[in-house]
Amino acid sequence: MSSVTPALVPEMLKEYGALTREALDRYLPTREPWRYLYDLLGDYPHRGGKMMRPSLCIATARAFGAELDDALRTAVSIEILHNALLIHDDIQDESTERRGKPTLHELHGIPLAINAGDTLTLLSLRPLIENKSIVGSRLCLHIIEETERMALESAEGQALEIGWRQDNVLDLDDADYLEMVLKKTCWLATIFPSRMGALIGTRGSIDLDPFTRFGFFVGAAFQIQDDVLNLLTNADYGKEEDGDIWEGKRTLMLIRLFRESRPDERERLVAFFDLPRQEKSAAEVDWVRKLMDTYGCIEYARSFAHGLAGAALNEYARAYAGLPDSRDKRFLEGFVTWVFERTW
Amino acid sequence: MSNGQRLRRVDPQRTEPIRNWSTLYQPSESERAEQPSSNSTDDNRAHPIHPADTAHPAGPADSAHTGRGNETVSRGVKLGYEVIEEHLRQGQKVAQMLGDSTSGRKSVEGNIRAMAERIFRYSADLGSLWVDFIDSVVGSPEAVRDLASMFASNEKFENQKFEEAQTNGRESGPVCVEVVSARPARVTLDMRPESAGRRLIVHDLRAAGSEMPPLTGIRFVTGRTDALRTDALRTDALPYFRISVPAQQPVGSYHGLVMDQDSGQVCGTLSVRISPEFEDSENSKNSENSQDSMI
Repeated sequence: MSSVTPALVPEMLKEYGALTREALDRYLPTREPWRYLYDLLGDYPHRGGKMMRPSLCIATARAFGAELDDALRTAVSIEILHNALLIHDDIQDESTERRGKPTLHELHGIPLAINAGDTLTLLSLRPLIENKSIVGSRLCLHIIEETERMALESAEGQALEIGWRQDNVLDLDDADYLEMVLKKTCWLATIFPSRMGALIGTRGSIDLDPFTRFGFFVGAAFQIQDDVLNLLTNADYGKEEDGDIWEGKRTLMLIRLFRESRPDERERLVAFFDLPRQEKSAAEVDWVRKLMDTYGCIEYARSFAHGLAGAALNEYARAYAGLPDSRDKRFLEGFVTWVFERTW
Repeated sequence: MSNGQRLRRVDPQRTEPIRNWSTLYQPSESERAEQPSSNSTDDNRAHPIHPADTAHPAGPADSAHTGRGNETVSRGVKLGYEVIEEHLRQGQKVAQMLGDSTSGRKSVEGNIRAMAERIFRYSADLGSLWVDFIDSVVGSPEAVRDLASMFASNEKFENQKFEEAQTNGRESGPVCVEVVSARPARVTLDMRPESAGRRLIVHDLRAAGSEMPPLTGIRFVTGRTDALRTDALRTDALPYFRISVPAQQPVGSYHGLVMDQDSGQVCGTLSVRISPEFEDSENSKNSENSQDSMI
């Protein structure tokens, strides 16, 4: 069966990604101390991420008639903040690989990596402040307020997931998972870029709730696919295979596994996930992975995500109703199916 | 019936519509049943949904592949809507609380804004008298043009829109909005500076995320071509949008694009918010947005 995602989606991700990266570089200071700080800041952004966050923001704004320049600074801010949070995530998750290379803290140590993440977070404010000369002070302030909300939602989601791991909470249900993903992933990855694009494109005159719904459904489907890819051998993916099991990440597959497994298996799972990463063995990780197959956890997650993608298409139709056809509008629709077809 | 037995319709193979988004990406269950089985290896790109691991063909995993798959899809959608609607409700609660705590500040801002609007309106009216006076006494087209641009820029300052920030010296023509509505209708018009002089068209305005009928029949009317030059300060000589809000139009916010009729380019956005009833006499002006005069 051939791909259903229009070629337009990867094409525009590349196009808007390149524009964002070029603009982003202008916000990275070029002075000493290179070795201990500024070299680190440009590392993740130059490893070639998907650039879906800035692309969503720009495409949404343009679909509503905005110029590229109206949305570019906000898109850059989103990408800088995303990279800042990745550095901290990798430390918190004890991840070893990011975009096919060792994580920043593996290369430079945890203290310098934390400092680089902090610096990137602060630098993400500059493009938002510069927005004033482009979109005016009222909209500029509105975007900053929205950024504050997004940052809080993301922090709450991250806290939930880390807390569950710290306390070895495994008896979670699918609604718990969705709530965590809504906050931890969706707000920064899809809700915020969509809301900001709509805000900029309509000069703040539109109800943003439909974009929150669209962003949630497509973002949750994206996250589930990301977790599925983590469990499949795939050279393009760029993260450690089965890394989520090593890290004890609470995925939809793990939640289903714990719910469906026999009491003796459940007991063994609790003991396994209670261990710190260094004490987990490859054989036990392999056992968990195979048990997920036995209980159809990957299939379950995929079906679940398909439902969410269907809802995302429905919300897309509502949020973007009445807009004339455009390249950006087609990109936004195709983005939903791209979430499933991507292999990285 | 001769033999006493009732005729029975054969039970249908399915009793409900197939609402499975997975058929977007792979053949449906029935289609797969017709196809010869394939032993292809992991091809995630072409078949995003496929058996996770053929090394475990039996056991509980089977349930997720067949009828349970549909249930899972429905479950995902149902749970998803529950979670996001609850999230939006919480957000609205917080917004309401913030709104209550800042309502005092808002009313002060509203008063200041109303006062500022009156001051600028008076200055503009006075300005037009001066222009008429100079025109009749001096008869200099240059002097009239300079004065006209001065007062036009005053009105621009009155608007305090972010559009000014992005104008950056580009030319912008004035556009008026005429609203006919029995209920309060707040109009927001954001025009791109380069839209001046174009033949504009407005698509039907739609309420996002709802099934409400669109607000139709908005027209762009070009100004009188026989206007005297001093009419640069008179709104009846300017191009304008004519918006008629039908009595049965549901309350809500309607949005749409302003396009260039010739090139199809987007020239701006138009939003109309229809409120249920007049709150006070101040609101009886059916168009209160900054763009209701000139941009």
